[in-house]
Amino acid sequence: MGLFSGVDEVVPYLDYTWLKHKIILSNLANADTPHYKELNVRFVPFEKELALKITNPKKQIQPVQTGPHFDILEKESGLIGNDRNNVSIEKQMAQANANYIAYETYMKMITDNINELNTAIKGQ
Amino acid sequence: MLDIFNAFDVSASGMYAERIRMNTIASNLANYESYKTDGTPYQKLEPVFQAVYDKNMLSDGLVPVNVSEIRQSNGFKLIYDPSNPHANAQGYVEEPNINVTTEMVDMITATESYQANLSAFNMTKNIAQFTINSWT
Amino acid sequence: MENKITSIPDLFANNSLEKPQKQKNSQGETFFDVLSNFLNYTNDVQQTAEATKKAILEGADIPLHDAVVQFDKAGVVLNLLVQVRNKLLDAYQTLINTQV
Repeated sequence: MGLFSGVDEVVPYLDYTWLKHKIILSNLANADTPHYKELNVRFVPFEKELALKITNPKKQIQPVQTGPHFDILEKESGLIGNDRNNVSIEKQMAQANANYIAYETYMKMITDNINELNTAIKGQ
Repeated sequence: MLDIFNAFDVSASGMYAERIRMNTIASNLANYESYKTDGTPYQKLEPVFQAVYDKNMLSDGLVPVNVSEIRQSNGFKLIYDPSNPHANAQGYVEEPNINVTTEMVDMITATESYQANLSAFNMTKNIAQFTINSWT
Repeated sequence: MENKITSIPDLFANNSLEKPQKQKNSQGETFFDVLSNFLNYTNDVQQTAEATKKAILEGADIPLHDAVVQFDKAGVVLNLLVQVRNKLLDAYQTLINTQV
């Protein structure tokens, strides 16, 4: 039944946003850990999963962890200090704020959809 | 319990690590020119941070930080000062290997990291509260 | 002269009366099929929500937004079930009260 097709469309984006938030938390906690490299999340959309064309094999970044739809990557470049740590706190905080707004937006989309369904069903 | 509590733990571990660093900096600054009872200089305290890579947590995107040990450094500064009571046979004094400027910069970095972690912690709390409030 | 009724002839045997067929929709399903699909779907959604609730109580790592979305879906589906039941009851009442 296509009852929840609108909700199910947004849920993967919500999952991605939450994972990104956790990655940012990890980066901030390890902002002073020696040899720690910043982590990032790559979103592999369902349709394109099987059709990823590798244009230049040498440039393919190997993920630290693969999941069903997300890859977690380590950032190679960026400013590196004496302790070989390349986390930029300012950039992480900027991403955290943008991410939070995205989370609220997706959650509101889903909640409004649910409320519409309930209203239509109850007929009021 | 929920995934959210693990996220809180990661931020808390970051704050704890930075607080330890602040404590060692405070100790080092207080003991800038002090000696132990046997005459050897005070040894600078250095916290050692380590990222905890656990497979299950990493697939969830969580990498906490752990203070594995607080090291006492073995280096000393040698200052030529024959009139000092602590001078050795050649006239050199061993002083604690503490550079005030370095310690101050470390203190500022630690404070900044602590505040960033705290701000992110509050953001996680807001996300959780928003999600629960949107539950019809 | 008596003509006893020996048997009742089969009205449908040799004439043009059609046996009533079950109504089928464009996908070839009867009303009963559609209704039972709907009930199964409702049950699945509610079972998923119930399983999620149990898993959380037992301490599994489930993201909060996942749980909230599933509970919301279970609520919608329950509302739908109640309304469908009401409409079916109304239809039944209407049929029963039809004057023949």
